[in-house]
Amino acid sequence: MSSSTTTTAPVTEAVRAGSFRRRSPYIRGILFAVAGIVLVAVAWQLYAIASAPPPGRRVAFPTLTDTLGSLGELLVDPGFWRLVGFSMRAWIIGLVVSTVIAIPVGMWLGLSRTAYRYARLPIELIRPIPAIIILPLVIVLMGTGVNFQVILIMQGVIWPLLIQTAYGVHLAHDTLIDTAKSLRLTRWRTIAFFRFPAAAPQIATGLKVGAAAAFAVTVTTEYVGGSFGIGTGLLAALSREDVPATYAITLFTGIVGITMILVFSAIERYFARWAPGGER
Amino acid sequence: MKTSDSRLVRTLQTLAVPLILVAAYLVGTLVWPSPFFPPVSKIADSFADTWLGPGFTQNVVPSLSNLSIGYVLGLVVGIALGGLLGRVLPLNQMFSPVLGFLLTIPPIAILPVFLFIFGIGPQFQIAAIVYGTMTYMLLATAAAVQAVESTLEDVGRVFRIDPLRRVFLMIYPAALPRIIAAARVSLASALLIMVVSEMIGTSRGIGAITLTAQQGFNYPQMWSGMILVAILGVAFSYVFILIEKLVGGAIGTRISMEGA
Repeated sequence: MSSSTTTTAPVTEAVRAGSFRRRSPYIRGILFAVAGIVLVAVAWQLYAIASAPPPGRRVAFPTLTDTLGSLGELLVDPGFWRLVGFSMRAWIIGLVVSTVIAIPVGMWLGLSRTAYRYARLPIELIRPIPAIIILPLVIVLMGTGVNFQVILIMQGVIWPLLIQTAYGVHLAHDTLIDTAKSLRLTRWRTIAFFRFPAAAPQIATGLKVGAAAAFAVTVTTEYVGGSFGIGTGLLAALSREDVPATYAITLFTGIVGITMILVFSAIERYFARWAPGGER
Repeated sequence: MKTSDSRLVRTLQTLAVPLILVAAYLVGTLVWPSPFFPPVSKIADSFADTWLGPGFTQNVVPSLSNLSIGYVLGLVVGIALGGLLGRVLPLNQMFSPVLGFLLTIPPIAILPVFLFIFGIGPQFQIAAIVYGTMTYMLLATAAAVQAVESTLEDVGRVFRIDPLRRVFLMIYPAALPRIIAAARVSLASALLIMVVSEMIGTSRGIGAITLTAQQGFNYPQMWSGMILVAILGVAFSYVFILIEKLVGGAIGTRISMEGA
């Protein structure tokens, strides 16, 4: 099925590459990426200068250099790092609690057809509810501390992770399970040494999606709910109308987000080798 | 492994947990009355007052009109430019990293930027929803277009179908299932951006009213708002399940006819 794509792909690639044919496609990709970033940076700077309001009026769109200056100031400000620390603490607790719940329950749902039948409709109904909308209720019940943040993170993370896990366990090949049977492994050993590794790639993907979602929910609870963290800094910068600092914190959250994605993608690639048919 | 369970048993199994939860809430509010968990009758009254009749035009319509304008705009621009991004490799290599970076910024963190640029008002909500939908659809459409088998394109060339027709009659239809899956994800995130932006940037709309109800200790109204957003989320998800079923068949036939 995939043989046709793998044989024609390099050919199409070479034809498309045109004049860059001799350079490796990897280097070409990096060059273009850098060019794109420079282009966007220059466009930002020029647009900010062109759209600058007359002196005395508030700037809506600061220059890139002002924004990076603000970012530099933030990065040497211990107060800001304290805020980041609070956010990261809520993020880690929320992610760990969600994982500890979602993976076993997801495996159970993937293994038992009956359990899946009972759970399908509730999951389908609860999953599409945005985490943010339970914010008012959870604040009323538990205040704005880290517990409140963790509950909201759980609503954002548990469902995708649970579904990925159940799906991954369900995918495990029958031959794999027959092997475990013929080795006369106990039920728990079969799960630990056969079912779980087979599902690991799907779980890793669920974790990557969950980590990013957890960070987004964390910042939201701080901004809207009033917990302490990066969102607090964002709100403070906004209310004192410090436009470059607001943009700088926005950029900072993007840097945190992309770091998370890169780390969890590496984990994902590592576990992808565990999948049946993955490279050994 | 028993698969011979009757339809009735399966239906009961499917409905069991939701019914038990609803029953537990009903009994719970009767046995342990709590201001935070008002009885269902009060929530229903508040729902009717706030979101139905005149409340519908006043509170629900603004939210839904911002959502639909922003979502449709973002979808159209995202799919059109995303197709271009998927077809032109250098463009893709230039802009994918920047777009990927924008996507990792939590929606809430980008909202202050839109507040500065657009001020408070529907234009702020619409711009935020357009942004969220568009960035995701750009990258997802580019990936969907690239995932189309290159042999399909070669077949088009052999039959001398001109490039414009190849794109609109062959590439986009072949990429459609993935594009629809992406549209589903971005509708969910558009709903989220709608609610969050109303919680921070206005006093109108579903999100604003739900949060103010909590701050004013009007718990039945708070619950009714939560239930409305939950209903919207679930309804949107089911609409897309339906679309996926409908289009799934249509795509298959169209491609096979194109090949023949």
